[in-house]
Amino acid sequence: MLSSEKKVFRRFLTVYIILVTTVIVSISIIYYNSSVERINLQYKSLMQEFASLQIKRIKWLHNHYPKYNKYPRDDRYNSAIYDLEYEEIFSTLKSKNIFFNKRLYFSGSYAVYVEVLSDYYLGAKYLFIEVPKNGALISKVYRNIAIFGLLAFIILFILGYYLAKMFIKPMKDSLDLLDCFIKDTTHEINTPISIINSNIEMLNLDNLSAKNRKKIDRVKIASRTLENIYKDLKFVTLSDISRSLDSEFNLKDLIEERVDYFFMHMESKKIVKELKLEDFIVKGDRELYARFIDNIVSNAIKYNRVGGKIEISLSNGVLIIEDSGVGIDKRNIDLIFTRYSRFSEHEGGFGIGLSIVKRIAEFYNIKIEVQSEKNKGTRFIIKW
Amino acid sequence: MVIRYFLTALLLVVANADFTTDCVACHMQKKVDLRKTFMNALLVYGGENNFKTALFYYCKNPQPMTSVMSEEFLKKYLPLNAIQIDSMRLKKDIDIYWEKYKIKGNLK
Repeated sequence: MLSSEKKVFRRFLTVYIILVTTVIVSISIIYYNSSVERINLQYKSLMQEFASLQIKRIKWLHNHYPKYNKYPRDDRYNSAIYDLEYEEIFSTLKSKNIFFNKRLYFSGSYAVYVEVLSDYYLGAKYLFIEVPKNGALISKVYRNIAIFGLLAFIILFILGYYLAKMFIKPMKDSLDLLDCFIKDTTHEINTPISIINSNIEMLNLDNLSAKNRKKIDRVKIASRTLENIYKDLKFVTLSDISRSLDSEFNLKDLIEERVDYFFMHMESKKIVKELKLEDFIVKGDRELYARFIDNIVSNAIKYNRVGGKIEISLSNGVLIIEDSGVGIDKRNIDLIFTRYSRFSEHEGGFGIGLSIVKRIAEFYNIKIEVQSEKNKGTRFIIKW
Repeated sequence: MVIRYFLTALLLVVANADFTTDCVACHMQKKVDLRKTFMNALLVYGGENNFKTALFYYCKNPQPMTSVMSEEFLKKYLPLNAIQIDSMRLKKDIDIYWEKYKIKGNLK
């Protein structure tokens, strides 16, 4: 899977997971609230029965007081009576918090029901009935939410995974087709390029007129551009990076060689080059480093203006390649290393050059910083 | 300190004597149980302050509609006469009445 495909896949999956989680959490909240309501109703119904019973007992005690003065008690519940001035008359409650304005409330490990009396037996207006809270009821609700929530999440996640795959399939097919096309093209252009290059090299330029020599130079530029494209395509489609060909070499020499390779390209656009290079030994595959330099330099030429300038400096392990070209829009800077991404309609190309640069940089742990200003130029700062 | 306790005790004795004269004597004469009357009033007026205030105004302006007495009592003793006792003294009598028959602190 390509990085762009992975990105789309991850984005889709993230949005999907957020959506699924929101739905599951919402359903869980609704289920929790309705369960709590149901549990409260159960408590209320039970405690209303206890309250009726307790009222009967209090009424009886009121009528037989002071012959009988023992406050009625029950093993199943605790109770308390308060007068209309919120003064306690008698209490067997265990919970300390008393709320007169609630019908049912939970205090610590107890559920408390409040009944307002119309006749003030024993002077009581408020009757409190207290029972131990049944923790198993709410635990069951939490357990159900955890089990079914997790189950729903897993099922929907699997479903989302396949949906995401289906979602990116057309994109994947298009990219696969493009890859196949590039692979086939790469294979087909190898031989003609080699023939053109070898024949150009064999030409005796001394016998040619200045006009024809200029024409041959143009053919040379074109064939080198083609050769460069071929190498890029070969790298993208056919090669795997490995350290088997790593060796130590002077980066300065390689840069000079590659700049020389593009000499005619620069000449054709009247681009002035300025090199300030110091010796710097690196370890790596020289061919890969050549791809790395070639792609940045060729971009600096391609997107430069006629009569522009390219400055290349290498000092203390920092390579700076700067051009005076069209520059890149700030919002596109982060995207320039993405494969098949192109931001100029005027210049050709597959949009793979800088993705190659990125791949090689990641492989050799090279840091690249891009600074660019529209219509002023672009600066690549490469650090080892 | 001893004098203070002595004076308080003396005041209580005097106040109780007033209560006996002002309330108990008449209720005994009319054969009306003070506790039963208290329980009837408690059933209607509930809390201490509410009870005392209601009873005070009832004593000053007794009406059959606001009375907690039985129908038989009302038939027998209508029209009800206002109690001719000084307000301060009546309030003290009611306080003693409440303390004597209150429920709070007397349940087990």
